[in-house]
Amino acid sequence: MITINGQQYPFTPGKTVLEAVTEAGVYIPTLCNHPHLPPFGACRLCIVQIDDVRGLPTACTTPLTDGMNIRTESEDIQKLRREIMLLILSEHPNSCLVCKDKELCGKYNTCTTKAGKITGCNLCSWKEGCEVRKIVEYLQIEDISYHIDYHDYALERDDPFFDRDYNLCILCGRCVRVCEDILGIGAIAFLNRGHATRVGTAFGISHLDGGCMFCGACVDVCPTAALTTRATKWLSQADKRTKTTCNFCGVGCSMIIEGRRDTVMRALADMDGAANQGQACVLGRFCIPPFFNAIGRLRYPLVRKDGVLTPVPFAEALSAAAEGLKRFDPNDIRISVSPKLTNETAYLLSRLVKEVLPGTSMELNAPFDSMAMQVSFRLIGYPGCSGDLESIRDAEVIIVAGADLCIDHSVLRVRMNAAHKRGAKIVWIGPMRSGEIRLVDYHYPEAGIPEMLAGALRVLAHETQDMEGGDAFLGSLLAFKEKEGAKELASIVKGKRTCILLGKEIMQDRPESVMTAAWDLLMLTQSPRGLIPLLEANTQGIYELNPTLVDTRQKGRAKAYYVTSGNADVPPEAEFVVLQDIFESKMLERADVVLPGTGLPEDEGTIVSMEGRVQSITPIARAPGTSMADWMIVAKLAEALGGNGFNYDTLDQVTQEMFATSAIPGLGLMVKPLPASRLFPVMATSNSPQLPASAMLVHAYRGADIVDKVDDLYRLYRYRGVVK
Amino acid sequence: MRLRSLIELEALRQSILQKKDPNKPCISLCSGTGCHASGEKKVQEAFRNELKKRGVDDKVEVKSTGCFGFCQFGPNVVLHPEGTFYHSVRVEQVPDIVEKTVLKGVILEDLLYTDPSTNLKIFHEKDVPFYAKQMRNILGNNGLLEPTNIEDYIGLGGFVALAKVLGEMKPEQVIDVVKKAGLRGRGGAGFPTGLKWETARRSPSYPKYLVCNADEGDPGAYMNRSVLEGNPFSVLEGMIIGAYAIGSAEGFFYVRAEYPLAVKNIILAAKKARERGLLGKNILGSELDFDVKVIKGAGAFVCGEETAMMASIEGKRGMPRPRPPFPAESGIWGKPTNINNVETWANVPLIIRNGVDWYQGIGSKTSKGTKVFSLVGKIKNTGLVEVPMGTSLRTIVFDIGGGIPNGKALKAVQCGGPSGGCIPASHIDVPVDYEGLKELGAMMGSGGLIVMDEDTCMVDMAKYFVSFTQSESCGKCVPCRIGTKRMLEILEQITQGKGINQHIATLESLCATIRDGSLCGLGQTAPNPVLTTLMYFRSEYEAHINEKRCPAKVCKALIHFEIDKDKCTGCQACKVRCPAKAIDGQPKKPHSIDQNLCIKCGVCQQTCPTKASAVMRLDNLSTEAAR
Repeated sequence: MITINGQQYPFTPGKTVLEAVTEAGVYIPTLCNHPHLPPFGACRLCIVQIDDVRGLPTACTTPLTDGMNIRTESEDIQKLRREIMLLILSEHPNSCLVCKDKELCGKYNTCTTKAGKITGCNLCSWKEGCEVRKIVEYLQIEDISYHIDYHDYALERDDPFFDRDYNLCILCGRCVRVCEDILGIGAIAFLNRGHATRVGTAFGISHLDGGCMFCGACVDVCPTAALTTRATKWLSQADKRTKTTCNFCGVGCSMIIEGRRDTVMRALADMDGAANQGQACVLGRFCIPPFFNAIGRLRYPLVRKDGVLTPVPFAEALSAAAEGLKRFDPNDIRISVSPKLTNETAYLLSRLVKEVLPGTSMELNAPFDSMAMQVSFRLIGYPGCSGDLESIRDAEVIIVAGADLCIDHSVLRVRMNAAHKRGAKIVWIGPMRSGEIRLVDYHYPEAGIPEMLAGALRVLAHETQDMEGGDAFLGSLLAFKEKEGAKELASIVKGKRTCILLGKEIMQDRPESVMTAAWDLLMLTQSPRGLIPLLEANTQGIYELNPTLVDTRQKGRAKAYYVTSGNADVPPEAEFVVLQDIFESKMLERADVVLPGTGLPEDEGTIVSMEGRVQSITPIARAPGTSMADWMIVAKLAEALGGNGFNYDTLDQVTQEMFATSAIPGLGLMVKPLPASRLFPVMATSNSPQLPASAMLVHAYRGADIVDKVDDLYRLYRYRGVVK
Repeated sequence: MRLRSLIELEALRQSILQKKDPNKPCISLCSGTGCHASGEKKVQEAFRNELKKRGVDDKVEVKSTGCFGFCQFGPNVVLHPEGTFYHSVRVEQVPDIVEKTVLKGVILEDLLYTDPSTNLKIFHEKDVPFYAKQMRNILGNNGLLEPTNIEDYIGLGGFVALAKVLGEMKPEQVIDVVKKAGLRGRGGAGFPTGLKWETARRSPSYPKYLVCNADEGDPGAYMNRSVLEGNPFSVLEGMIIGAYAIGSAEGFFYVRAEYPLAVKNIILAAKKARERGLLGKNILGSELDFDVKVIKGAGAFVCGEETAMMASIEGKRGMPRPRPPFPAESGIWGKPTNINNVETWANVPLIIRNGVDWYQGIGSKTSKGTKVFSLVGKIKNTGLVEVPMGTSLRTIVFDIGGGIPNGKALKAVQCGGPSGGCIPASHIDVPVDYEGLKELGAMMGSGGLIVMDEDTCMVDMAKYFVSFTQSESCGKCVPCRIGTKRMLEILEQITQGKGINQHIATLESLCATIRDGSLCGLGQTAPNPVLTTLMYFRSEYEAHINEKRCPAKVCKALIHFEIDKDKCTGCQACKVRCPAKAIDGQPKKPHSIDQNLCIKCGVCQQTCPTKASAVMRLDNLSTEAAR
């Protein structure tokens, strides 16, 4: 048992005093502490009195021991806290905090004035969220007797995405700690010492130069307005906020989005997110409002009349689409499914095909994902990853092949860093642009990923131990040429729990061989849960609902196309094209009917992340013009085509029906069975068309490229060499 | 070459002793950094050349030894076997020394030290009053060996303690001996060393690391430097014994980069020890594996604090972290780590060799053994002093230090550098040990003793130490980073004549906040100079504030210089030297200083011929009439 302020509580080992006190519901002021970061002990505000411990130790750093008697408040403690806060305020613009008119001013002066230099709360963009203000109130500070100092650091506004005003920085160190300890990047650190101590990059270089990934983790943890998101800092208070799931990639980060008057305003990482655990990346954190609010959104349904796309009411557009599709045999119709579509939309599409247009082929508009789902189905018995994202954190060796974690799935870096800190080794196969350098232990930059893996397999071959398929497997390896580094790779993974992340860039060269060889490597290291193809937002969900999605690179061409992304592969001889998208694109030149759908902040429904986690997407904004929710478009189109049972009143009806009748049972992590131990022969040559690098690097969201719409992202990618 | 057993070590010792010719003349020169700065290298070269010239270089040995400690009077030379002590030796005097003293045994009286109280010449080193009241257990061998000559060290009894430990004692017994002897950490905190070792030994995880803290950042302190430069093997031996007792296989020497000679010597000493099998695997044929790495600091005072030092060793920014966990449980890379000061390690072989009773017989009730102090400032005999704990400050300053030069009066002694406090002259009889000084509000610290006379302004001195702590603060915690800055601002205002009444109360409040709120020892002790000067010299603060007067006439804003027209001969020396061109006057006529241009540098007063002494340093309340 422990005692806090005279009350007894049970003792739990492995906690700090601060954690115990907070769990007991007792308040202690903290500034440098953060639940996701290792304790620091710098602000000295959380001091407490503990029996038999000298002085006033900080609660955040003191380990809890059984029998401890803790006092969190006393005259001495409050006095010292107040003195410490006064010292902090002597170097932080404080005029509003101790102004005699602050109550009235706060009540009636609601709009913060945009200001360059912040000299008081009423000029500060973070007035409502500032943690310094909260503690000043708790300590009832009325006046500051110390000499006031203003460092007069230059405002830093030249890097993309976020501004830095270190005149407001209270040196709590949270930003430094999150970048170093959680992300493993360390782009910023404490510089100098004494009064000149400050936070910054090495040698004052820009954040672009310093390896910053612009993930925004530092901005999220900053207690003051020292770090602020440039695009949204002056947008005033949101009038609603909700939890949703980002769909820029397949990790499925849980985000909190805020909106004002039907427009999405800002996005923050959800601290309790299961997949992302409080972290996010530059896309989810900074690009949601600028992208979805960008110009070029499709606003009205369009029908081509006399060669010109003309705005029409939705009913007319839907019937034009239905009439057009009815002219074709379903076997000549192809539906291109965007990996961004929700489960409900995909579910309705599958019903459309099964019940209304049997014979229609469906393809996923994501070549890497299509390949990965087909091959994984063959290898492990079901499409998708063979384990969840914790396989990365638990691994002893993590191999990354053909991926660029700067572009997407960046949040996985956090798990990689955690594994690395525990001693895991990170192997990078393929070009590495930046950011990963600190984490990577072994780098094999040259081409020939299949040769690399095959060479390693040859060395490990004696570990087959009569596994099923061993003979064919061994035989297939003989066709591969020798590759330097393969032996070293074998020695790195031998006997170690391995996890292999496969990215889009393997499409450049025999992707099926790469995946098969990767699986064989996992088999030979007893790591069945380690196959992690880096899938798109809802690839997993779409495949759960449509297991017969074909790899249409093999299939051939159709005559009529119903596409849900403007960059779908529609051949020139296509006779009828229905485009359902959210942004204008080149496809407008080909489309006969255009149906404006919804993007992430306007979507409602569920998606399944790459690890099989079913999560909700909740809207905060209204799509422009007369756009309609994608699922509703599909339902109404199905009705127009003569389908029955597509008359839904709410989305929830679709969701419940889907949960009841399809392979997706409900929200939460779908448990995957352990794959059978089997080896597969690896093909040294391949007939399937390979995709060039240039096709891989575009960051598509349906028919638009995020890079085209968000200037700062273009700046960042250009700097990193991702785009020209 | 490699000693594979205790027997081989002993055999080597005997052969060294046998080879020693007690009658062979040997010229020992102190090669510590102090004498080095006075030109010892050139003197040494001169000796070697002279001996060669005379063809006797094979008959007379020249030994460059560790620091003698008598730094005021270097270059220092001792001629063995007689033990004749020559001080302040210049290159021009070398031929004479060789011809007369070395070859003919004739003493050159000019080079002998004169006892200022008796005016008698002293022949032998041990009779020099500076040394007479010292007990040089740690520093004693410095003058007898070449610092990196392992055979010199063995010949003086080096590694006898290690042999005893490896041959006759269990690790727990070693810890027991250190505990019973009462050795306390010499870095300043005075924590019982045996207890620290025991906690590290009891920690269940491996590997365990040892660290020798040679960061020595206090201004004016150079005890560790002289031990590490002068007798690095003694520290090494202590660490090997510690490694055995605790169960460590790897040790680090963290030496501040500003000690290049110490770094060089310890690296070389470790190399020699390794060659002899005294470091590395199976030391002296035993089961003990232990080796050391030398790591240089990078110019941060805060890295002398043990948790900051461990961060620095790990390659991180030197910022302290709160304890618990303590280094003995979780230190470098999360492993049990035992950190001790250079002097603490050097004490260990002596304790093992001479026993608990011997050690307990030296020192005071609570503080056993000797302590090395660096005696600097306004003192006649600047140097390194080693006395039993509990020796009075009076003995150190007057009997050993020779008192204050130029007939000035002692004002205070600053003990323990920027973490310590000042002891006023009124308390000069205080016994110097851990507890004795704490009672007076000061701290023995690592052993720096800065002597101040009537010409020292105590407010200015407090300001100096606070500016030091402020610039060395790592910046992590609020009370130290911001609090010391606010304190410094106030002290600057006071010394500039802008002090107000409220300032003293604010200072006292800040001192309490910084002392009670800071994360590490740097911050917690940073207010000490201010607190002690306020306690004992409050009147000086009040004079600065209320009267705008600096009693010691130091603070530039509160003093001015005037030329006494009755004494000035018009020699123009001051006018020529004045950097601000503030002095005007015709030749052979009295000069005057333009107060608007004067920058108070004091060069005019220094330049004015002693016979005239026409320049007066006055406080701002005095007019021309104040004489």
